[in-house]
Amino acid sequence: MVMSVRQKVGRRIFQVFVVIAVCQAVLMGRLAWLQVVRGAELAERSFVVRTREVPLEPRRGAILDRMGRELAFNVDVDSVYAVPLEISPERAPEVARTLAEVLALDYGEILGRLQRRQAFVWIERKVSRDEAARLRELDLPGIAFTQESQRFYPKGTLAAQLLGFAGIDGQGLAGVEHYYDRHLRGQPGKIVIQHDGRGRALPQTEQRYHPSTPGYNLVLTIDEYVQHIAEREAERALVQWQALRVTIIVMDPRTGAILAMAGSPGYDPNRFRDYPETAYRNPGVEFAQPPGSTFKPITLAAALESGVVSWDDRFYCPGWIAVPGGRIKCWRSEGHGSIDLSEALQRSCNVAFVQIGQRLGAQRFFEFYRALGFGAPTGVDLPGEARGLAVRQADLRPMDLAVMSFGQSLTVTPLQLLTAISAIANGGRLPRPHIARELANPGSAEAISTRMGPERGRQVLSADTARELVQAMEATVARGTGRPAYREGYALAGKTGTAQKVVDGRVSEDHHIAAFVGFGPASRPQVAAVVVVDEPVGSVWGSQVAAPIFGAVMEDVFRYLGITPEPASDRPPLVTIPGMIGLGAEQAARALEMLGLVPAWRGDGPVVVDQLPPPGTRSLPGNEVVLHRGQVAALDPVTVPDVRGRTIREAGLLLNQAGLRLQAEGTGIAVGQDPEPGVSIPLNTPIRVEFRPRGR
Amino acid sequence: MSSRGGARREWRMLRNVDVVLLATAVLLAVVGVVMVTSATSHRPVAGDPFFYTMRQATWALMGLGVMVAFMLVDYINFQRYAHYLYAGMLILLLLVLVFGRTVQGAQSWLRLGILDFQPSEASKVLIILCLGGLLSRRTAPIRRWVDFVLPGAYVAIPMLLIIRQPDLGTSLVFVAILLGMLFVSGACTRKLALFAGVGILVITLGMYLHLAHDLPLPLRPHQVQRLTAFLDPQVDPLGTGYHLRQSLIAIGGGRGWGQGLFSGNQNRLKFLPEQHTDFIFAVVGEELGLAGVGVLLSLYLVLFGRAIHTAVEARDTYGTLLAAGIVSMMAFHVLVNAGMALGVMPITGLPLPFVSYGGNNLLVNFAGIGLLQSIRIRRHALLF
Repeated sequence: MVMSVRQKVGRRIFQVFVVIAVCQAVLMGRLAWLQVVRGAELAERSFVVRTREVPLEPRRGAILDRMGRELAFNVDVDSVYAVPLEISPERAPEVARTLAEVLALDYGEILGRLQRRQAFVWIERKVSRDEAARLRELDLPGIAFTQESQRFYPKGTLAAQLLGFAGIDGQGLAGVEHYYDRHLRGQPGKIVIQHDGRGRALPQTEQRYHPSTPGYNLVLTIDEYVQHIAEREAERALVQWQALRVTIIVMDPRTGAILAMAGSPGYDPNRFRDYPETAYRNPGVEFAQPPGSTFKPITLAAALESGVVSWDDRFYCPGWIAVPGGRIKCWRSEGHGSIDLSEALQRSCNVAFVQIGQRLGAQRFFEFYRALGFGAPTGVDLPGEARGLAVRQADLRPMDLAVMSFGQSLTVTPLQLLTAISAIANGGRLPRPHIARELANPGSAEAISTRMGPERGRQVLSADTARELVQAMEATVARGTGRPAYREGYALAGKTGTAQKVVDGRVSEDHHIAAFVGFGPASRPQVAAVVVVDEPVGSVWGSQVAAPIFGAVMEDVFRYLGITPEPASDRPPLVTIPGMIGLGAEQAARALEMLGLVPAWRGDGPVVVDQLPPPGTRSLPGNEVVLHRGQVAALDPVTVPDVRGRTIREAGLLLNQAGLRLQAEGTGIAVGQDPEPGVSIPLNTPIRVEFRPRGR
Repeated sequence: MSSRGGARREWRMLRNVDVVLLATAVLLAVVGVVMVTSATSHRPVAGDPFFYTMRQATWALMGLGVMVAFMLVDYINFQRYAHYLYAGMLILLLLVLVFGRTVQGAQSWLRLGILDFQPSEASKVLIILCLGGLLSRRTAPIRRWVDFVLPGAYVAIPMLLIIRQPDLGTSLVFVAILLGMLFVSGACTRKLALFAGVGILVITLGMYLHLAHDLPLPLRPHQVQRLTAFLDPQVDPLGTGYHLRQSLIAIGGGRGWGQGLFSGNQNRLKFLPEQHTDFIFAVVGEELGLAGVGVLLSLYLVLFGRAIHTAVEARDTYGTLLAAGIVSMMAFHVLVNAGMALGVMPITGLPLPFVSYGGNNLLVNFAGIGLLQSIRIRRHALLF
């Protein structure tokens, strides 16, 4: 068939159209595939590309003492970050220079960070209030702030080795901060920010906010005031005896609740980096050393329980005793002569105890050694606990058993010793030492508390043995080597100890440990304490060095706990401790002096920022009141309470409690105040309150 | 003829204007202005969010003027002066190689007063006019191999100049125009297909040798990457592949009805690169969805249909060939641009006719519409 040119052209041009239409149809098909079939997936991918997550640090739980006083909490601080994409290359050097100047950072380093093609870089974490304020004022492009929280230890060095500290990212690194990190830490949250292709956040778009969950507040068994007493005495002893280290632990022997655990020298956890790592270590649980004669009650307990000795037994001490392998000298070279069992303890006769140990035998010695918790961690909720060592039973020679009977050739931690002695005070039940009282959920009104309560201790000694030992230990303080621990009106029980340290693998004649362990009141023991002075200079004797410290600690703790001396005859009347927060140091001192109270200063600064016990507490004259000094400006601002509707007296009290001052105008009932309630202002600021007579 | 009679005849001819074609072109230009606005208003130039909008609108109005001018001129004149046009085109392309301004790696701009002139764009229409002249003067159909040599060389010379810039997209447009016009002129289909096949093979082989064995090609590395990215967008996900991935994400996110005009995430959030020029199709896909793109492609199909109709009804072979060339040019642009955004074609940087931002291309397309109208209104001229 012959086609005309015209027809042929027409057909071909139509074919061109068909080809184009088919191609377009294919493209539509591809389009439908992308938009309908893969649409959801691609849309989701678009969301992934456009979002960025900013982590929200959870608020770390506070650490409180048993009365709810804050030992560690978090303060909000600003951290500075940059969004380099929002800073034009021309302005970057200028911005970097300003930042370097204000924050005292390296210019080159900052410029490098600003030039990264990133949506987010840290400039400096946790800057000071002043630095943040200055930067805010400068309003630099692409520089922003985020609130982070920083751990703050308001009491400075108090209980530092116990508390430990948290690092910059809020992770617990030592002490209970480390042990309970999991609970204190909380769950981080995040903000999902949508941003554009150039990394800039979009202000008007949906932001998904996942709040962080704050960590639990940890309430300790520690009592800040008892801790203060222990630390005061530890520091005093450290200076007085030029000791290497002083450790004092105070415990409730009935429950194992640790009321104080002091190690001197300490450190300030707010500046933990300024101290060597050894300063962080808690000598109460981390160091095991020979207990010396403080171990004698343990040997005696084992012997009594085993029935190998009785109180009527008598011992003769010529000043030395021969055992296979050598002679052992008594500390008193002229000897103790003929003594009974109680006197052997009271006078700490080594010769008698060697004999007691020999009667006991290795088998039963180790049985009680283990039963009373030696050679194994006590299980206290603190990190790094040492277990203590003894000569292995299989390798034991008669000489070893002989010296172990009076506390040499074995090592124990102060807490192990105190726990074992507490069993004697506790009617033979071995308490489980612990430091955490409860974990409280700060988020909910009704605190979901995990009470880490005392479990009823294991009966390791019979109640009779325990009671008899208490009497012997009481006699030790009343008449024996423990006499320097004696306090008028208080029946204290205890045992001295003077141990020779093992230095370079051999028992040293020059390095000693003076210790005292005991409890009281003997009739119903409520407080047990151990004092360990490591390498005292001048005197090495536990009776001279450690016993007086023990007595001082116990007396003050008893007064604080309201355990009255017996007889309680001519007791001076109690006084009420006034509120002194915000007062100048001299003013506060005068106020205390007038009441017969003694100020105990902590920290530096012109103003009292905290006090212990709190205002309103009834106290005996002569007691100490701990006053923390500080700079008002360095403190967290306080929240103005609502005093409207209150009398002048009530308003004054409320404001005083909040650390503010009342500036009253008029009389009657408060009708207005300036600043308003809820406003955060510096401590000690006067609050103007207007009063009007009631009924108008 | 008297000027008065001439005027009357012109008027009569104007009644033959293809209103559908005109309306479609204007509608596409309006869509273009709207989409350019959507693609650019969130990133103001010198504080003006409508900087691109105003410019595109101005170009569109100028385009209408160009269209009218081409409509009123009898297209037969272009056939008559085809050699001069061809020579002028070569001069322009040489000028741009010597004096041209380099934008995004290609030396393709001439500064003419306040206007930036892109000779390669103009050459798209010029080559149609010239090649139409060459082919329409032939009496015998193109059957033998040797018959392909002259038209091939005729197109190859300006094309090589354009490749030198280098502007690969436009040179491929030349290939499309050549194939389209040869096909319509009645060239032997089998040989034409072979011709095209060999061409594609040569290009593919060239690319392969360039990539694998460093065969020197007048292409910048980024152009080669763009060309090959669609084969595997994962190769360079934040570079070349990034464009493509963002385009696919944008289009995919559009779903059936789109995210709404001025509301496309990838577009408004500046994830989409070259969103107002090469990738405007992705903006349409994201904001107007399958429906919007369907309408857009239908508009093109209507436009091509009317142009084909014009080609069939043209009074002479030259008119038919011109119309076929224009359809080839525009359709190639549409298919390659859309295919690029959809990830099935290499990224060659060809604009979407009437819609992509860019004055030169807009003028060229309106010139094409003017030519089509010129052919259409004169289809019965022989009857007078």
